[in-house]
Amino acid sequence: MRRAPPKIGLSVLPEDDLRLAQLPLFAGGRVEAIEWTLDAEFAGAPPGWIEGLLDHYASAGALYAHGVQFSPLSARFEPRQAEWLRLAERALGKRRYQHVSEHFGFTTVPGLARGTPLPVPFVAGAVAIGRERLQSLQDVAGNAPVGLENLALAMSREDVLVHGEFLEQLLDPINGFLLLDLHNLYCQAQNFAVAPDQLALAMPLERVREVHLSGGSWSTVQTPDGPRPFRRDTHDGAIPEEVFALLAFVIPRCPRLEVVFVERLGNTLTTPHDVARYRADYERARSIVVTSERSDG
Amino acid sequence: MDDAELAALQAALVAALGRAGSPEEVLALLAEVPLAASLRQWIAASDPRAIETAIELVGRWTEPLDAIPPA
Repeated sequence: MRRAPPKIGLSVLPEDDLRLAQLPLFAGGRVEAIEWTLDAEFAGAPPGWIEGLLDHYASAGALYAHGVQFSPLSARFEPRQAEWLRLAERALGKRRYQHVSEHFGFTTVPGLARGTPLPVPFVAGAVAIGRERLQSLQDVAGNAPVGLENLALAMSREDVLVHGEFLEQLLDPINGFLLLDLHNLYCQAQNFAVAPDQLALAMPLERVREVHLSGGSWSTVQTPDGPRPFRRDTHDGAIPEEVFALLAFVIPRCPRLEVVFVERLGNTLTTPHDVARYRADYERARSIVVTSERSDG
Repeated sequence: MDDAELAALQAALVAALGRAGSPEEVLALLAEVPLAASLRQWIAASDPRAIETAIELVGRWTEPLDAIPPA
C-alpha cells in the first residue's frame, strides 16, 4: 500500500532577507509545515509575523520544534541546562508542536552560556549521559516525540562510521526519532571519503521523522600533507546536487518520515541570484518530495 | 549523572580550541591533561582539518555565561 508523501516546509528565522525570500513561497501555498527554533523565543516574544505563522501552522498540525543550546551530551549537567528545559517547557506549552528535536553533541561546558555542537567519543559514559538528558527533554515535551539531529562535524573517519549506531543507542530508550540532516551527512561523507548512500544506510532510517536540507561551503585547511578541502555546514549556500540525490535516495527508505525542511541562515541572501536560487532549491526539493513513493512495508 | 572523565575531556577540549591557533597547539594542550586512554585515543585519531574547523566554530559561537543577560 502506498503512503502519502511527507510534508515539505521551511525553517523560519526572524531575519528580513530570509523573510522576504520566503514570502512568495508562503503566499503561493507552497509551504506545508514550518520549523521553529525554540531558543529564539527564550529571551522574549518573537516578531508578530512569526507568532502569526506559528499559530497558523500549529492549528494545522504542521508546526515542529527545534532546539539549539540544550547540549544533550554535556558530561556535566549545568544550571544553564535546567533553565533551558524550563524555558523549553514554557515555549512548548504555548502551541501544539508535532515533535521536538535537538542536536547530537555538546555545546557548552561549565562557564559557557552558548556554543556550537561538538563531537563526542562513542563511549559508554557518553551514551548513559545522552540517554538521561533525552529523557529530561522528553519529560518537558509531554506527548510530543523527541529526537536528535546527526552532526556535520566529525573528528575522524571512525567517528563517522559509528555515528549511526551512537544515535541509535541514544534514541532507543525513549523510542526517539532521528532528524536526518542530509547536508550534515554529506559533509561527513565528503570529508572522510565515505560513499554518501552507504553512510545513509548506516543511519537508523526507520527512526527518521524529519529531514533537513541546506547548503554549506568549502574551506581549505593546511595539513601536514598539504592543503586539503573540508566541507562545512554553514547554511549559507545553495543545496548541492548530491544532497538532492540523497533526498530521493532516503525517502523510500524512511517509513516514518513525516516532514522535510529546507534550512538557511539569515543574512546570507545578499544578491537577487541568491534569492532566486534559494527559491529554486526549495521548489526542486518540493518536487522530489511530492513525487516520492513509499510503501507501508 | 555526571561523567568525570568525559567532563574533563570536554572542558579541556573547549579550552584548547579557544586558546590555540592551530591543530598542533590543540593537541599539545590536550597532551598535558590527564585523560582516560579511550578518550586520549579519540583525540589522537582526530583529523587536523576537523580540529581547525572546531577552532573556528568555538571562536565564533562560544560565549561565556556572564556575557549574556538572563532570559
